[in-house]
Amino acid sequence: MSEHDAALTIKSLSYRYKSNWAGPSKPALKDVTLTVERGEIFGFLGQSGSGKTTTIKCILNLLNITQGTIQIFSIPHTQHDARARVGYLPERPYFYDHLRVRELLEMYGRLSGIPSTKLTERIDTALEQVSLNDNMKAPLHSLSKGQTQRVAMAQAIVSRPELLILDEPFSGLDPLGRKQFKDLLFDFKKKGTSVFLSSHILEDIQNLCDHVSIMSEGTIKRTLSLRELSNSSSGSFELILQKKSSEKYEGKETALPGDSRVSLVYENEQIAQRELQKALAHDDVVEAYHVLHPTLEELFVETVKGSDA
Amino acid sequence: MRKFIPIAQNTYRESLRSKVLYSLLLFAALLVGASIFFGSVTIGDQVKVIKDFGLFAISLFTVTYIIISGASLFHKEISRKTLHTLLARPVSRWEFLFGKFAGLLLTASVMLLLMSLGLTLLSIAFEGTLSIPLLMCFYSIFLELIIICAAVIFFSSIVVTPMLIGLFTFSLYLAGRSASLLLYLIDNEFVTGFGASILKGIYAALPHLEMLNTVNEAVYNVPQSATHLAWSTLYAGGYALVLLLLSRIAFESREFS
Ligand SMILES: Nc1ncnc2c1ncn2[C@@H]1O[C@H](COP(=O)(O)OP(=O)(O)OP(=O)(O)O)[C@@H](O)[C@H]1O
Ligand SMILES: [Mg+2]
Repeated sequence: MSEHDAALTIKSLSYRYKSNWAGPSKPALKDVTLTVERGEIFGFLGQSGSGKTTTIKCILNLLNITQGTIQIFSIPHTQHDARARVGYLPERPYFYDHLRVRELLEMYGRLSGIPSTKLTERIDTALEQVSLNDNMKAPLHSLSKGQTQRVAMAQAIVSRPELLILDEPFSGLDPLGRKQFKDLLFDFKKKGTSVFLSSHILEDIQNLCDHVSIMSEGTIKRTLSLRELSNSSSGSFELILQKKSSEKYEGKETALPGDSRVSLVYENEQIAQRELQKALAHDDVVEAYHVLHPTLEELFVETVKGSDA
Repeated sequence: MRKFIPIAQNTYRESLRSKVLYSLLLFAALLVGASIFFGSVTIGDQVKVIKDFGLFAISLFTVTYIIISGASLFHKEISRKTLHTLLARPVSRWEFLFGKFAGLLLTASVMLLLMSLGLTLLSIAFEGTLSIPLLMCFYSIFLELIIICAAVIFFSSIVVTPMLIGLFTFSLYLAGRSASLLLYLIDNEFVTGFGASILKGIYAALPHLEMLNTVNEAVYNVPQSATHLAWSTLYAGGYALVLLLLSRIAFESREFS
């Protein structure tokens, strides 16, 4: 496997929608470059309108790119063979009203080239993976938003693609559904599937992805490894107390839910330690004392705001 | 190339599960029913009236179906973005286009078959024999449907709005049915010189649907010659193929945002 044998490589991609009656368009993508390695989960973050969906449509050859290159497993993205290895979940998915879930998956399966002898088994597996077994016979128009999202995931995975391209896969799902989808993505990762997913729900990304790119106004502002993020320190310390005494503490205090619970944050480790000792000496209960890691949210806000300035 | 089949099947299935098809079939049945009534009060041959009316109804309703259903064929897939999940698969745009064409033609053909069966039974009931020119006329209508289906696909690939697609297809149908009017203008020297050359060009480009209109032969029980059948088959097939290939060129570079 050569160094360039990544799941997805985008180099210097720029894209501009055609001007319409509303006037000339500004570029939707400017010089986007990113690499999704094999077997990793890659998060593509950005505010609304930052160009996530546009990038995905370029990858899938739905938009004609004039600048830059896109390769899927080192195959140019315009080729059939490239798309044969991809599973795609669109944002706000919608399917044919006249079909049942199973009929839809049959059609998609055949279009993905699944041999007819394996079709039933593949569909059963996909339905099971998204926990939709009971809805196989339901017409698609009768499904709820979350169920439709599950169908969307099922059609993306039914052909067992090597690269999953998911545009906001968690939208419309309840917490249980989100958990199931995350577990599913971890399972795929274990089997070597690469995942490229867009989202602006940072909690979903934080403990799921290996790498994330943060996009703003059509350009990638920052790409980082989430392992580095959790290993790095923000230099702050947090002390969480349940106050029993009337003792006063230093530090940035925030009230927490519950009886007189507070969070105290310190930039200085010595002061933090001192206040910790003080709490232990008094009647106040120390719930937690720990180093604060920078959160993805903080990083995101910092990155996106920084670009506005 | 085989991947056009699931797309055609899906198009066909959608039609079978929509109401448009059945309403049109019902209308056609009503019209033929009316023709029996009119036939009985007309002096002369009742069966001629029934055949004339029936063939008119069949052609009208199948073409209407293709225009109504065909005009929104692409638009629905594009606006609901179901097209995106199709084209994200290893499916070529040509396979999509041809699948849509095949599905539409299949539906129209099934409609034609059902209505033809009805009219044939009716004519047997009145005449006592099976009329071969009538069957030949059904075949001519089928050839006409091939061209109209290809036309609606062609306009779908270059225009976005269903209204316009329907309008253009219908205009092409009307123009094709009266193309010889242009020849009349030229032959009687109403138009001469450069204007005549342009009209000749337009005449050549329009589908010669009059050649496929064999209602008179069916009504008067005159069989079509083998050469006419062969020639019209080749003509319809060729014309549709050219339209589809042009659609392919236009569709290949379209963007779906
Ligand atoms: N069809 C279109 N024509 C013109 N401009 C468009 C079109 N689609 C998107 N845009 C513009 O391109 C930019 C990027 O849009 P895009 O849909 O890629 O954003 P996104 O990151 O996916 O946003 P969201 O998180 O809301 O889905 C936006 O400014 C949008 O207005
Ligand atoms: Mg989007």
